[in-house]
Amino acid sequence: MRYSQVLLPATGGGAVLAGALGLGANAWILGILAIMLLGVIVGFVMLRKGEKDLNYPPRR
Amino acid sequence: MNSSPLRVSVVVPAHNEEDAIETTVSCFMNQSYPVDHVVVVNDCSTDKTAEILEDLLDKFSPRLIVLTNHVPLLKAGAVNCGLTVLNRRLTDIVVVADADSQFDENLVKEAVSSFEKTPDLGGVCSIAGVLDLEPASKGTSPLRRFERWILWRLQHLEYADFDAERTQTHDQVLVLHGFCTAYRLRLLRGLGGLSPNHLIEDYEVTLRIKELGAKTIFNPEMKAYTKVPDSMKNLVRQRLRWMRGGVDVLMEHGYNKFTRGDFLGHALFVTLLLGVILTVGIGLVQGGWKLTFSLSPIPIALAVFGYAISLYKLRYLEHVDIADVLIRVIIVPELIMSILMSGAQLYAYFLAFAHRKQSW
Repeated sequence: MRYSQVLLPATGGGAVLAGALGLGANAWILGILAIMLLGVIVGFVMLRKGEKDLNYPPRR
Repeated sequence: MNSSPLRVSVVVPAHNEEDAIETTVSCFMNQSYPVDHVVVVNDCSTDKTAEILEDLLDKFSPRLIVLTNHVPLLKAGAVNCGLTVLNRRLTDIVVVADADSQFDENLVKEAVSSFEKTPDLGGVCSIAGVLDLEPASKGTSPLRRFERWILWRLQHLEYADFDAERTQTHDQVLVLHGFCTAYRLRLLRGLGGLSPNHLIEDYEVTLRIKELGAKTIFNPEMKAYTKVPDSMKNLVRQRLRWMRGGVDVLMEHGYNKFTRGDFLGHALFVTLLLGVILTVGIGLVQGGWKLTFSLSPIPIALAVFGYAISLYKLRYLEHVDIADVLIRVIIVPELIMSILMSGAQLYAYFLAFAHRKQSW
């Protein structure tokens, strides 16, 4: 999805904020967030591998 | 294996491209690797594109071939028209490029190098660079100037993220983007060219190439830069076309190993949206929300990792400006845009499932 890089921190941030304000949410939302977190980590590992394979972007 | 050098031609569909066509044609005529033919398909232009092409023919004929359509064929039809004049035996690779884009002089050389290294390659796409914002004309209001500036900045950042996504999946990219991709001509012809029946023909042809068993890769040394919409109206129109077109293509191709990732992305989007709606709805019905995860590390980790990675991806910008960094750091402008785009995505689902007609 487009803008997923913004939605992810915003979703996590929103959840933290909701918690801090005492709003909370259902546990199953936590499950979705956990899957998203796993996706972020796997995605980042794949990104680093891609960078190594392509030698891109060049170091500045 | 054929040891003779690969022969390359270029097809450029053009519709009202008087500002850009000369630069685009010159980019391909002056490549470091020889380009046999540049075929420009003038698709019903009503501006001075035809006159400019006449002048260019004097300069570049016979390498430049100009075809003129008097009935609009749109992008896919215009590209297919251009493919018909290329000799299958004398052309190995065809670069399909947008007329409003600019290309590095080594682009074709890099594309050829990818085909030489990967025998089962179907297509290779360039980076998705963004051309600099053109200066606003005199008399443009401050609000309009801000609109142009912020939209350019947001898309500049977004296109760098597209390059990051393509780096992540470089040996099987999701979309060989339409503004600059090199295809194996034999394969593209075998597929019947680009599909004129789809709003995003680039995604559709990428899927068909993959389904044939050929590779679709990303070569970051192929540098291409495109113009991006500079008004909200045009941006929303473009994105609705991308999003609606994407759903149509998925529905047509169905669930398979090449569409799996995209289906999951849509499923996650819908689930998350339903989650938010249900949480708020249940909370309201119950007369207040119950705190269940305030101490959970999961949302904290998601926020921290997601934010860190979004900052990390700034390195995909060729030229990092302080404004880009600020926009990414404060997150709010991109968040507002992502909410708008989420709305557009929902509307795109409606358009697709209601089978509404949508212009290209």
